[in-house]
Amino acid sequence: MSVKYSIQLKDITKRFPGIVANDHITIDVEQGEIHTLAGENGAGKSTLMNIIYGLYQPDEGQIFINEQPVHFQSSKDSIAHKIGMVHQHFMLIPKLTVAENIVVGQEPGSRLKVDRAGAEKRIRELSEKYGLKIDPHAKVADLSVTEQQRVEILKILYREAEILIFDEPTAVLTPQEIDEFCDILLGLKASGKTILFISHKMAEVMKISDHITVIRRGKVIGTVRKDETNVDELTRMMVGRDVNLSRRERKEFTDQPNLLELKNVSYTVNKTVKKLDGINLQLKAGEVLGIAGVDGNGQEELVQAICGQITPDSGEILFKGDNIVKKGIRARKDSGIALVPEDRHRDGLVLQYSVADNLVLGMHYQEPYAHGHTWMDYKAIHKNAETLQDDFDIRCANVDVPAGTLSGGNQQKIVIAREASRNPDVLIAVQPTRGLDIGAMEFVQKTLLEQRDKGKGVLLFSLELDEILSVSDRIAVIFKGRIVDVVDAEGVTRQELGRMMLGSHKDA
Amino acid sequence: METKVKKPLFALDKKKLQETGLSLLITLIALVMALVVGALVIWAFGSNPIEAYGALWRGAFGTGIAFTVTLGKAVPVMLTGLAVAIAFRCSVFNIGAEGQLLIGAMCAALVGAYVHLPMVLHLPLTILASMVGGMIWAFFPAVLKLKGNVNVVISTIMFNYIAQYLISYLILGPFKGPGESPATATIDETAQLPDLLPKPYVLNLGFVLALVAVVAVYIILNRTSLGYEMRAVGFNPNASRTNGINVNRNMFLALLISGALAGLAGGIEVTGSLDKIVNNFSANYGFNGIPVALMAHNNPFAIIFSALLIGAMRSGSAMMQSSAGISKNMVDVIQGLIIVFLCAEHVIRYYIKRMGGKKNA
Repeated sequence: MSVKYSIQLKDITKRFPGIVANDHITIDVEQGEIHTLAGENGAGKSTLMNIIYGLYQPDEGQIFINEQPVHFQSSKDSIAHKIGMVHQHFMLIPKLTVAENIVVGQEPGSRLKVDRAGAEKRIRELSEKYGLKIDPHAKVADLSVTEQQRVEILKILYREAEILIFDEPTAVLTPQEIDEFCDILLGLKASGKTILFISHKMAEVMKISDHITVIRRGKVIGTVRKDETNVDELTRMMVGRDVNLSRRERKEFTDQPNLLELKNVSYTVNKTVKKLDGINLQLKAGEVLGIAGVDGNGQEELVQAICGQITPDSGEILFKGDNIVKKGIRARKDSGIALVPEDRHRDGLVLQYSVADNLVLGMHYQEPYAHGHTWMDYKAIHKNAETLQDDFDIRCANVDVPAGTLSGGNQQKIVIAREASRNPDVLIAVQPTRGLDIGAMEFVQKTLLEQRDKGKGVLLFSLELDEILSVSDRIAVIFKGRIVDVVDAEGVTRQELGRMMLGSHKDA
Repeated sequence: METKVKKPLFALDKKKLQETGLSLLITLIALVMALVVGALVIWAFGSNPIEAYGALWRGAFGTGIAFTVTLGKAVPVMLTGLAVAIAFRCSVFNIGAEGQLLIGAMCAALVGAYVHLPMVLHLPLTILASMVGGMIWAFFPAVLKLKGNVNVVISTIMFNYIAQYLISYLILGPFKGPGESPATATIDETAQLPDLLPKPYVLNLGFVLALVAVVAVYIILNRTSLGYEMRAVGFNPNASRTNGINVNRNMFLALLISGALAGLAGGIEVTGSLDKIVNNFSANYGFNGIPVALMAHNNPFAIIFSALLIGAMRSGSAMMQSSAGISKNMVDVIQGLIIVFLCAEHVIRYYIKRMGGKKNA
């Protein structure tokens, strides 16, 4: 049997100042397979993809496409070899339609007139063939994230790509969307396309891959057939040690006081849309309360209401017995509510500030970081940072580099370290492991559990059911701004939770 | 162990240094390009650019007296530059430094002329009045922003016009001093800034005050929790808000401090050299604060140098006009060109990188 190879990498090496991003990487991708490249953040996956796509040139080594040696100088060369890439961050123009976005750069028709009808017809055909369900007339600005991703796929299909590269495509998707996305990839494979897929989410990797190549610190650890491996082995290959992300033993908590209690909290936007609809919730000391739900069912508003970013229309929010509805954000934080926000770039960090400065953000005006609420003590800030850097294993050259230069996992550690160092009574964590690799994920979850074991209350918002199930003590399910039910995490199944997330009670 | 800690620190310093060097290089390139294009314009009008620039240089630095004039001319733009910069660091575009300067000057002129006190009290009070005046003029746009979310760029521009016509009215009407021409009464000698150097040199205490303001702004921005918050708001208002920083309050304060600095510029003009307010006394000092801040990348200490550059062009332009026969307004053209090329920072950065990349390849 002769196997044909679409992509072969032989001893690819790429060095950046001070680091070898790719160290003699050798990978063979068979024609018509889904080949997954797995590895932690910073392992060198993206560099390798950019080399294949022609954005970087390797320092050593040789690339073969369809068993012919190639030397790509730019992405133009790789596109000519029918390679297409869907980047993690979409490259679409929101104001243009789907069709316009797809043809931009190589408009069909004459120089004076774009052949719109022809282009739209082809796009429609492609969309139907691969089940992408995209209307070429739609404006990209009006599309959801999933749909925009499909437009990106259409774009490379329109350019007749045979080899499709996906750079962490599922990082931006919800669990339901990931399932649909996997079906699309399987459909593409069925029609003969070769797919190179980057991910570190084990569930989807195991679902769709034929081969899996694991990279760690710029080196290939190994390539395995999906049928001959399992999640534990892959994780060990990626992280280099055993990782425990499954259910944790938990401390017994009985008759603990309510730290945080929401009574009938409602919030309406534009006078008609009820984002929060009579929320009742109790968070006890020494527990992790997971909030499960499909994205957009009021989680964001619930966090904002508790932290003081919005004022509910009605209801009470009791923190240690006091109604805090009228208190400002800073007053709430100072009284003991800490927040790990969902979007660390937007809400968690000032990326231009140093790691040290970020580690006191929100506490910067208090002793010992500022004297008399006025004079900053950068020595104290620096000292605090070095302590937290050690405690939370924040990896950076030193604490004076801008936070923006760190990897996502280490940025998240800054946020977690800061919020934990406030020594809060209640820690609210919103999607705290989103976009993190397994090692960082484990660390973040461990920190949450440590807080719980210290007798704090942890409110965990997550779209990942696995995370909710493995970290929470109790789980509240939110649907259309209401709490459907609160259940003990022990003895509830994914299926039951999934049903509740769509609005039906556990017992129904 | 010790070397392990020290090494990355050194690497950072080098990187920081490189970045600072690059910024400096870009500013210099913009400057040179502005002068080159300016030379072309001069040449196109039939004059000799070398002669013109030579005259400009002599006018600004040729003699000791000329040099003190340059220093003096740098004072108001140094202060308005600081005003623009401190607001900008907090993401507030204060285009109203001109109006704040005018009102500040007016307040100083009134306190200087109508309040009579010994110098130790009168001079500080007059200077203080100018700062309060500028602050009040910034207060209105700040409140409009806070209560009605009115765009600060628009409101501060509008308040420039209001200030300008208000001043015209005041010096023609209620506060017209003795004499034929429209002007306020001359301020008391107790309200006049003492000279630093004997005549014929023209340099007064205002220069020292401006340098003090530079240090003060640096301290506010980099050593106080207010500065920490203002810069955080400037970089990322969302993260600031989420972490308990009151974004509106910081922007409000930034605009008030900015107004006070611009007002101080007006106060120093009145107490230092004008002695009274005449029509159109400000040679766009407020607006010139914008290129001064831009050239300095909003860094207080760098503003000293960018203000000196603008001051040199202001003081040299007279010589350029008289000896090379080129209109004084040519320096406005060059200033405009500097802004254009500075705004092209990213383009210049791109070409520097590309050249650097080729060298490495």
